[in-house]
Amino acid sequence: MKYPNFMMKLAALAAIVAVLGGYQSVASARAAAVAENEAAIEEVEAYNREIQLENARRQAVETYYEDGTYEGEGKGYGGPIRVSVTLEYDVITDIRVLSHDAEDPAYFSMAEALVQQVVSGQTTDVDAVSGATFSSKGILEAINNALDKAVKSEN
Amino acid sequence: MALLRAAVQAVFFVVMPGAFMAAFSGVKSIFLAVSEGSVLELNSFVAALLGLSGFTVLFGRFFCGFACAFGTLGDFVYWLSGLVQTKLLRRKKQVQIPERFVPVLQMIKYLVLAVIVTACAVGIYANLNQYNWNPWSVFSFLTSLRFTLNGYIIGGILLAAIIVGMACKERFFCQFLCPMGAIFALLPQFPFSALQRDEENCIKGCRACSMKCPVGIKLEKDGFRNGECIGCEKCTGVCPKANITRWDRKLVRNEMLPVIVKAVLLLGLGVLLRLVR
Ligand code: SF4
Ligand code: SF4
Ligand code: SF4
Repeated sequence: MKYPNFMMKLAALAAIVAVLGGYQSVASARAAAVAENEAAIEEVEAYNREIQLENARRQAVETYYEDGTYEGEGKGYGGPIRVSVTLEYDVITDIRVLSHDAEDPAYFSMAEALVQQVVSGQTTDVDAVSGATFSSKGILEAINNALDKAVKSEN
Repeated sequence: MALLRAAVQAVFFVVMPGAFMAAFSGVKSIFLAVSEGSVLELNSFVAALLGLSGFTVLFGRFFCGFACAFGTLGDFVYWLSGLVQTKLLRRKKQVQIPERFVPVLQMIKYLVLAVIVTACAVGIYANLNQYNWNPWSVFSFLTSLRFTLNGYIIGGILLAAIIVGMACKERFFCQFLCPMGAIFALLPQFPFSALQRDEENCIKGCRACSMKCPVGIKLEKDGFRNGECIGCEKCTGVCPKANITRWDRKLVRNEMLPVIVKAVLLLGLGVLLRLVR
């Protein structure tokens, strides 16, 4: 063989790729099964949120937050991150990222996944994305900042 | 050539200081996904890993030699320390880690890689991370011009220790500790992309190139340790017989042009991978 070392490294790389590929096919099959479950769960959860909202509307219960859309700011990796949070009867119904000018895009796109987690879990107590800690913390800080503004003054 | 290299390094330092971290976060993200049993996704970190690895397979470790911000930091610290020692302290030679320890120390980075990958794959990496130990994170505060530690006490101490190491050995971190460097060294690099040393033509007993080489190697045809070569191209300039070259340098009869072309290609890749600010 002409380039034994090159070939050896190539073979090792191919082996690693093959193992990860095998893993991937097993994991996808499992994920497909889980996704069906999760779709069902998410449906129930969305339904629950709907009922919670409905009940709150009907009984006009005292809420902790004032309804509305609030803007919040957090410190990301390179500068401020601004979000808006929409609340209805203490339920976070929507979060939008308004600006993130100073974040490195590759990092920020990793952290953006947290927004969905906050809405579906209704909590900002979620783990930062590994490798994108600062963008993650900035997003969560911005959401918390918006929530703080929404707290009713009598509380 | 030295000037061109410094200029290219400076540009990449400013426009994509986070590239090496993003690529290594790609490795972590793959193995964290494995530990959770979830599907591997092509997120922006994995894309950075694939992109830079692909570039390295094609062109050798040009990224390490000319574009990585942490490598540039190493070169700068070493240069500065040399300047201080020779000019201010009037020493004849810069303090050095003895050459005979170097090959052994170079093995440490594979250990670092193995430990981090294992920690990710068995799911204890998050526990490790609460100690705020990662010196790269501290470095990333600095490149974002935030001069705080943010609670990264251990990370700060490690970074300081690494900088001391960088002052005593050229590319200290790259050759001894960098887990991403370990991956690059293990990747197959196309034989035509590497510098070739024409051994037959060498002066007997000459060691000029390996003395100049930051990682202390003498290039061999398809040598296993060629992976350690960070592609700095310093050896090419020092050879009295111009024995170390590559097809593209021969073709254009110029050493600068291939560097510029690769730098532009890499910059384009950085834009594509959204690593450029
Ligand atoms: S070895 Fe690591 S730190 Fe050094 S240049 Fe390569 S990626 Fe950067
Ligand atoms: S001096 Fe030559 S062999 Fe050594 S790292 Fe630089 S390019 Fe590679
Ligand atoms: S400096 Fe040139 S002649 Fe001397 S060993 Fe290296 S390649 Fe051969």
